[in-house]
Amino acid sequence: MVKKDVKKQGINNIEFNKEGNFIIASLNPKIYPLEVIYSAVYVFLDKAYVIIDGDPDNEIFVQLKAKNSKEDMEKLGMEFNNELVNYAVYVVQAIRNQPLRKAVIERALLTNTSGNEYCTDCGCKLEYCKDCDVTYCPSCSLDHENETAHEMKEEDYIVDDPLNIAKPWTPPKEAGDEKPKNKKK
Amino acid sequence: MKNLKIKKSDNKAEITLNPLLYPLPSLEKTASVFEKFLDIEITKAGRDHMVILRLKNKEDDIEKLTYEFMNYTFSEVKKEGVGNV
Repeated sequence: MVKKDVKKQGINNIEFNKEGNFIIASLNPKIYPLEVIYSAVYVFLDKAYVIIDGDPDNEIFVQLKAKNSKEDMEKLGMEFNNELVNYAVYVVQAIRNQPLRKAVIERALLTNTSGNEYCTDCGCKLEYCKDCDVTYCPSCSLDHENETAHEMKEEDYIVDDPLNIAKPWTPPKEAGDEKPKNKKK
Repeated sequence: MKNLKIKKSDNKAEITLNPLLYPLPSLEKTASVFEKFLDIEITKAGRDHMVILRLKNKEDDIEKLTYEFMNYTFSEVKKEGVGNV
């Protein structure tokens, strides 16, 4: 139930001080946690001088004093309230999405760089072996627990080398570099 | 705010800060930045920190420097990761 005075006068969590050119906002940490308040205040660091006081368990006071004397403090106070709601929604959404974000990151880290999720030979879905840190095809690799199941075949070591890059290169021996042969007496 | 007292005649400011809102490492970092302009004393007042700022150069504005000190401390607190969203 909304109290009668709140219904008549509206919600008023901000006190304006025109002489001092500052506002004081009183905030309930159960509605706006400290992280939300800090984030909202941080937006106003360029426009205003900020002082935070109070008890994080009961009530927090935020004073915003305009850097520019021509600043509309009433507008600043309302913008501050909007910023609080903005970050409160952000936090709620972040908490809701946390399991999903975790799952996406875990999947991304587990995926091989090649991105092959299906066996190229038989088309079966590849499975991941945590012990060997390898993805394998359950039908082609008959016993994946056997270390040889994941070992590379000899054919896999043969690589096409049309430019002869893999060919070992040694400089030709110049005349005079050869070892002198032992002369027979 | 009750936690901020600026005595312009003495070129001095006294700030009482809740360590749950402004942790000591952030305060000390800010103090190291502002020590060119201010003599800074950090003591304990019950569960709170008491920060006393005194102008080094009397031509500076103690009020403005105090508010700048507070803003810088707050940005350090945020940087340290307290209340990061």
